[in-house]
Amino acid sequence: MTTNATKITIEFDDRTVRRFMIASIIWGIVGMLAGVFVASQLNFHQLNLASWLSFGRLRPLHTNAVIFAFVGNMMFSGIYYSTQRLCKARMASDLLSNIHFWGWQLIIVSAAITLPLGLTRGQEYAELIWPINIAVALIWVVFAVNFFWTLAKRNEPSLYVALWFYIATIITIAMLYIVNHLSIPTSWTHSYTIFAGVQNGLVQWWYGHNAVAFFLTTPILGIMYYFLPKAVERPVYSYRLSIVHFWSLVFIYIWAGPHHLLNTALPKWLQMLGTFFSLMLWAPSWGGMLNGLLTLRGAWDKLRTDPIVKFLIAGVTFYGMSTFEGPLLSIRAVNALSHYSDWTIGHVHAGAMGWNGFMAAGMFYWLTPRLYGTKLYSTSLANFHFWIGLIGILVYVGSMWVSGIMQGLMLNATTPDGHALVYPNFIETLTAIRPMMAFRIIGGSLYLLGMIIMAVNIWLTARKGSPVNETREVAVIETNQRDTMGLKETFLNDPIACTFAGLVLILGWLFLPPGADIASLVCALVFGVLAVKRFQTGHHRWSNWYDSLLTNWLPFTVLTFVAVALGGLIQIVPTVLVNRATNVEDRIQQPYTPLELAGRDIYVSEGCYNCHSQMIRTMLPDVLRYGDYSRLGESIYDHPYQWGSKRTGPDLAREGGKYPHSWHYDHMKDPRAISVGSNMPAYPHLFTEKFDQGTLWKKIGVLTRLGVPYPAMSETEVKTKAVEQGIKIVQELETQSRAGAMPDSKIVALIAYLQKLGKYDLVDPEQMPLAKPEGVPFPLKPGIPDGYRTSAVTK
Amino acid sequence: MYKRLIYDSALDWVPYLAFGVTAAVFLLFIIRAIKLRKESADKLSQLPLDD
Repeated sequence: MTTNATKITIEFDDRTVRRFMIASIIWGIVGMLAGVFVASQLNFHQLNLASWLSFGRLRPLHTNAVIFAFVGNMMFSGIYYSTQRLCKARMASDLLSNIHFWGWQLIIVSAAITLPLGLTRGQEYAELIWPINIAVALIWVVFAVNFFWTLAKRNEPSLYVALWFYIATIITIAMLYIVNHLSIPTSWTHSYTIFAGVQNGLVQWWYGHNAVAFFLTTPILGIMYYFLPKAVERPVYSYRLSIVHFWSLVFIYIWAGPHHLLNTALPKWLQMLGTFFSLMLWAPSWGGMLNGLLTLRGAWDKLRTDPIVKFLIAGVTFYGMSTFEGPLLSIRAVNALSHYSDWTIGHVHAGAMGWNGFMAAGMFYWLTPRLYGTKLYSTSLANFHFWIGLIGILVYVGSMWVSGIMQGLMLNATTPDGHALVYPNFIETLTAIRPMMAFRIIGGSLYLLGMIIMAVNIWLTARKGSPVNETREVAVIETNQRDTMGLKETFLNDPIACTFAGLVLILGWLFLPPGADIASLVCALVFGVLAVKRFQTGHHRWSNWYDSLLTNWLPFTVLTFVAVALGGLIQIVPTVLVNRATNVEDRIQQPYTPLELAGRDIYVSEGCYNCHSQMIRTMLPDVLRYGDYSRLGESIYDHPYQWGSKRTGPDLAREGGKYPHSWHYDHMKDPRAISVGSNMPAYPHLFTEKFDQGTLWKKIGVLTRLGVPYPAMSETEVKTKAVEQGIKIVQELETQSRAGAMPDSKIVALIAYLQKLGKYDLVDPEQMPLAKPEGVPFPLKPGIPDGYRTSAVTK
Repeated sequence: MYKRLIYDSALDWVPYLAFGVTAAVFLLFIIRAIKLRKESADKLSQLPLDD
C-alpha cells in the first residue's frame, strides 16, 4: 500500500514517556508507603497521629494514589510510547502532551492535599472534590484529543489491537467519570451527588467496578499486547483470539457492577444481572490471559533469564488469577461470606500489585534502556525486585484470604437452632484476625522495598545514559489509504441504522406505558424481520462495514461506545427514572435535621464509611447482629449513600438510639475505653472544632432541589434549629455526667447524626400517589423496575 | 421476619435478555475473527515488531 509513498524521518516524543514513567514510580512509592502506613494503623491505633493522618482520611489517599497516580501515569507512559510506534507518527501535539502531563500531576497534588484535610465526596475511588473532578474531565479530554488526533494523522493504515483497548479506555472512562461525578456544589470544596440511596449505590459501582475494568485492565491489556511481543520478540499467540478477547471483554465488563451490592436491598434483577455477567467474564479474561501466556511459545527459557519477561508473565498470571477470583466472589453464596471482609481487599491487591504493578515493572525495565540509550544498570537488582515483590504479594494476599475467610465465617456463624450468633461481639472477630493484619504489613513492606529497588535501578540507569528520542524513517501514507469512512459513511449505513432503531424500539417496550409498549415491541419484531431481509440482500455491505473497523478509528470508536453504553443504560436508566414511591418498600427515611446533616457531613469527611457499612443484608447473621434488614426507602435521601464496602467495625445502619449520647461521646474520645481491643482511631479534634454553620442553609437548599422534602427555612431558622438541637444534646450529656461539650462542636453534631441512623416512617406504597417525575413525558409504570417489592411481605 | 417473598416481574427477564444480546455479540465477533484472513491476521500481529 505504501510502495510509492514519500519517506520522512520522524522523532518520537519520548520525553513525555519518560516523564510519565518517572511520575508513576515516584507516586507509586508514595501510594504504597501510604498503604503500608494505613495497614499499620489497623494494628497500632496510636499511629493515627493527627486528624489529617487518621485512617479514614489516609485510606482514600492510598487508593487514589495507587490507582490514578501510579497506574494512571504508568498507563499514559505505555500508551504514549506504543501509540506513536503503532501509528508510525509522533504524538499530534507537544503542547497537549505537556498540558496532559502537568495537569495530571497537578490533579494528584491537589488530591494529596485535599484528602488528608477531609475534603471528600465520600464515595470510594470518587472521593475528589468537584473542582478537581472538572480538572480530571478537562485533562482527560486533552488526552483524548491528542490521542485521536495522532490516530487521524498516522502512517500505518491498520489499527493494532492495543489501540483498540486504548480507545475503549478513553471513551468509557470519560462516560463513567462524568456520570458518577454529577453533583451540585454547596461551596468551593463541597458538593452533593445528584444520586441518592440505591441509585447512588448503583451508579457508584457501575463506575467503581468499571474503573477497575477500564482504568486498571483495558489499558494494561493494550500494553500487554504491545510490550509482551516486544519483550519475547515474537507476535501475539493469536490475533483472532485478541479480537474475541477485546469485544467480549468490553461488552461484558460494563454490566457486572451490581455484584458489589449482592444480598443488599438492591433489586433482585440487578443482583442477578451482576452475578450473571461476572460469571461470563471468566471467558474473555482467561482468553486474554492465555493469549498472553502462549505468546511465550518457544521462548519459555527467557522466563528463567530475563527479569522483564518474568514480570510480564507473572503479571499476566496474576491477571488470570484475579479474574478467576472476581467472578467467584460474585456468586451470592460466596459473596455472603466474602463481602465486607479482607478477602475482597486481598482480591483487589492481587490485581493491583500482581497485575498492574508487575506489568508496570516489566514495562519500565524494558523502556528505561531504550529511553536513555544504555543498558539496564543491574539485572540482578531487577531479579531481586521480582522475587521480593512476588513474596510480598503472596504474603499480603495469603494473609488477607485467611483473614477474610476467618472473619466471614465467624461473623456468619450461628448456633444450630439458628436463633443466636456464635460470636456476638464484633471485637472477638477483629481480635482473631489481628495476626493476619500484621502479615499484611510485612507483605506490603516487601513489595514497597521492591519498588524502591526498581526506582534506584532505573535512576542509576538513567544517570549512566542520557535521554534519547527515537527517530525512525517512515513512509507517509496518502490520506485516502486510512480512515476512508467519514461521518456520513460511519453513521448512515445498514448495520448502524438497524442497531440504533432496534435499541430504541426495545427501550420503548421497557419504558412506554401499557399499549404503547406492546406497539413498540411489535415494531421491534417487524423491524427485526426487515433487518434480516436487508442483511440477506446486502450482507457484503455489512461485512465491509465491519472490515473497515480495522482501518477506520471513527466507526470503531462509535461501536465501542455503543457496546459500553448499552450495559449502563439497561442497568441504570430504570432505577434512576423510577417513581420513588414504588421502591421504598414499607419504610421511608426521615430527613436529617440541620444538626444531623452537619454531623453526617463530618461522618463523610472523616471517612467513617471506610470501616463502617450502613446496610444490613438480607441474611440471618446480619439481621441477628445488627437488626432488621435495610430497606431501599431507608437511605432514599442519602446524598451520598453510605452502604459501604468494608466492615473493619460493625454496621451502623440501626445505630440510632442503641446507646446513650454519653456512650458515643466517650467512644469518640477513646474507643478502647468502651470497646476493649478496638482499633478505631480516637477523634479528639471533634471535641474542640466547631461544625460549619455557614453553609448549612445552602446545603439544605441543594438537598431540597435534589428532592429531599425539607420545609422552607430561612438561614437564621436553619442555624437556630441546629444550635437548639445541639443545646438539647449537651443538656442530655450533662445529665449523663459528661459536662463541658459545646452545642456547636463537631462531636455534638456527629452524635446527633449517629442517633438518627435507622429512623424511618412507615408507609403504605399503595396509598402513595404515583408521581410523574418532572421532565418525563409519560407516566412510568408502577412495576418498573422492582414492582414485586410493593408486594413484599416483611412481617 | 427474616424472609422476603419475591414475586416475578417483567424485569426479571432483563438478565436473560442481556445474556441473549451478549451471546449474540460474542458469536458475531467469533465469526468475524474466524473470517479474518490469515494474511491480515499475520500482518496485524507483526505490527509491534515492525521496527
